[in-house]
Amino acid sequence: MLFTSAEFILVFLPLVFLVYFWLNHRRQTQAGKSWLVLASLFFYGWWNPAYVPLILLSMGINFGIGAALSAAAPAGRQRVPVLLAGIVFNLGLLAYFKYAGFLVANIDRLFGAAIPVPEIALPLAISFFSFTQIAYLVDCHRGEVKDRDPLNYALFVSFFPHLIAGPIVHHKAIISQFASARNLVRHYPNIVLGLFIFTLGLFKKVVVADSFALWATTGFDQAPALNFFEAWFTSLAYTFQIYFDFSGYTDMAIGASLLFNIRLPINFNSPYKALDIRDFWRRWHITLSQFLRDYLYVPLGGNRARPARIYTNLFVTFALGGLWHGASWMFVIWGASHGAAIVLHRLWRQWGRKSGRRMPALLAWFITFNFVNLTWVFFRAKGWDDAMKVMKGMAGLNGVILPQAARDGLGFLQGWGIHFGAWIERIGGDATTVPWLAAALILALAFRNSNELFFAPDSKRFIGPGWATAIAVIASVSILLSWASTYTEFIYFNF
Amino acid sequence: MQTKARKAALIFLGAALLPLLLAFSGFFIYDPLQVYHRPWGRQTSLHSNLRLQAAGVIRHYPFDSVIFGTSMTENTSADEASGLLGSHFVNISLTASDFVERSIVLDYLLRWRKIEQVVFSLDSVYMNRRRGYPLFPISTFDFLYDRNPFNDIRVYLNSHFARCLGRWSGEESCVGRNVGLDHPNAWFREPEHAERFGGMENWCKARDYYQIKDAYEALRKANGKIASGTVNTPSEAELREAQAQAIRYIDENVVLHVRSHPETRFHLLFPPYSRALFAIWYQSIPLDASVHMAVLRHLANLASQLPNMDVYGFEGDDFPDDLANYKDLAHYRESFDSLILKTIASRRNRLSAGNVEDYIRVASGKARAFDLPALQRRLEQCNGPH
Repeated sequence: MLFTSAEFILVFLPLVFLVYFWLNHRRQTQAGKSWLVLASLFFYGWWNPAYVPLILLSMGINFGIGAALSAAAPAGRQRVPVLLAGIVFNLGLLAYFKYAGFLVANIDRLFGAAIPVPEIALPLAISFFSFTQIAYLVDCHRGEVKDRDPLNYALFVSFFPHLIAGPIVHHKAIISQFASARNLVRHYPNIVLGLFIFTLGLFKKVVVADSFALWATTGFDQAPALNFFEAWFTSLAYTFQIYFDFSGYTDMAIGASLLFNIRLPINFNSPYKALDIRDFWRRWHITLSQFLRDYLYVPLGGNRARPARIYTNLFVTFALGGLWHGASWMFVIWGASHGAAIVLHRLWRQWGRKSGRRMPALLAWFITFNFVNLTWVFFRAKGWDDAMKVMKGMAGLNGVILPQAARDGLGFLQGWGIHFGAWIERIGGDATTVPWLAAALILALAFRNSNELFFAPDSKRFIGPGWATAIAVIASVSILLSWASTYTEFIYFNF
Repeated sequence: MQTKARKAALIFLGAALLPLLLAFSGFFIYDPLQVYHRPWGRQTSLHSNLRLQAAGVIRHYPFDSVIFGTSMTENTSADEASGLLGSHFVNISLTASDFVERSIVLDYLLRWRKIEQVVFSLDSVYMNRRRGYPLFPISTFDFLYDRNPFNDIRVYLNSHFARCLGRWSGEESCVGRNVGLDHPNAWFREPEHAERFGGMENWCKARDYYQIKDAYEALRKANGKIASGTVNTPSEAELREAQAQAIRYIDENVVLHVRSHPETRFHLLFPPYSRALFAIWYQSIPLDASVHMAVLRHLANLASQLPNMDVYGFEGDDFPDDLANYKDLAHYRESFDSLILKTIASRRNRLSAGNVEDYIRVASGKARAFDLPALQRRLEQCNGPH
């Protein structure tokens, strides 16, 4: 069930909300939690009921391992193998469902083998609930988990707002909120802010991201070749699509969760405002960055090693982070590119400290934004050839075409090999493309993000009839657009 | 703050839900495709896009059997089928549909109500194993046939039906035409189709019509390959792969329903295309011919095993030889729809494990003997060079 679907917005969310607080109101708090767990499993099973047993199995085994870790003596030697067994279980599950086909295909290619590539459907959210539970096991190992209640654990893992696409949460951060008596009653300021954040997320997703998706999809998947502007607009369209899509979805998760008085961690903090690549990763998919830092980079040695080892650790962490996004070499290339950029940035900072020189902020932003934009090409492309198609276009190797209307003023450029005519036709671009890109850039750079707006100390100023009406209009439009279908005039005789 | 926030929450919900409520109520009452109910306050009509309309028919109209094909069966009279085959038929054939599209609707139909008989056309889409017609992507109608009733409203959430609702329009593009379910999308009465039946001279008169142009182009290509000796001969492996894929496509989208619904009788019929079309396959596209033969064998064998399935073929008959019976290389005149129903009623022309090899021998013999260059010449003579 998607957050944007009619069944979620009109039926599931209101029903779960009303029943949960009704049970709490009758002091049936355990029943309330059970209701949330059942509702979350229903939410998960809506996609494919066949995978509900998988998430239940995963939760059961991880809870058991967590209990064993918590019960063992803090300094006991047996704790490490138990933790490793838990991590191997989660990564094994992930490897089987997500990477088995990729692995076999690569073995076949590398060794000329003919092992049949298994066609395994990827269970929804497996990457997220696996990482969430790995973090839980490590927290158990560190003795940070005090609560051993299985219902609380099931709620922590399956709580529907974060189940499908994060943010990646920590046990103590969630369970302590459910345990708070204050959170068991309807808290209207939270409800209002939750509705507002959910609405802005919905708007980001269905109005902004889905508009860019049309150009990005056409450019990446359908156009046989791209000229300079088509290629740049394709990559920029995807750059904005992925940001507004993912951050919109995260906003919806945070907003939905806030209705239940549960505050999920911030996951995006205006990443395209970043002035360097490290800054970008402190703003983009923050909970994943923190997970990779705490559970991969630090165990590898973190910053407490020799420089060469630190650089290797950084690179490996990002390459694996890339692979986490999907079983494809393109994700590895994307992750490795960011890893390399992080290493370069670290060297640059060291040089800057010694020399006392700093890059101008505007130039730093320009480089960072364009690097991120370029590397998204690898993230989005289905294969190397598709990526190169876009890259070649961006490099101007397929020519530069300006709109016909510009010929009068810029006709002299023809002598430089620049043509005039259909300039963004192959990506389905039209007169709205440039304004959309400009507006998205302004939206991403010049405005405060939803967290800054609604979690700021002065956020109470939004709680009033004016803002409620304005955001309700956005909600209405977004809901109708998110459910809209296309209608094609029936060309009856065209058979 | 709690009180102020409570008021803001109520204002938000009211302001957000009111437009939705108005839109949904409006569409529920207007309901041009009869997704929710039979027409209120207007005449019964049917939209010509049956991909969208069939859901309403399945939910709200009385019948127990369907003619469920493509343009090949759009002329078939459901009333005549009811008389001959003894059930209450309706014709909900989906124009230019493939087996995947029809499987979506058929699955819903068989889940929704008890069906006695299904007449299903086995169009040659098994050769390319198409999964959706580009003009009407599956995503624009499949939600009407899933298990989720809440998303049905999506069919109206577009500018077209919004305009229809705004005007409470009774126009054909909104609510369809006042036709029955006998053959709601019958095309044989439409002049641009009807005028091409009757012989080559009528094809000539319509030489600029795209179907005639396509026919000429298909003949030109086939004859060109034959004359130059460049007919592609696929390898055994290619043939096996193509045949296996076609059979899998049919099994997953057609036979699956036959097996799952033993209480329903399925009459699967290979449409009697013109001999010229079969000749193009057999003489110039060995891969297609081989896939066709493999599918004939597969379904004939299954028909011998499955008591609720009959398969009919017409390639042994003479009427495909006469182009006067066709408006293009594939579509036959309506009198043959009647003939097909009579054939089903009398259980003639059934394919089985016992007769399929004889059938293929006769069919391939006729197709190979057909004079394709002569037909191209006739078209060129009457039309002038294209």
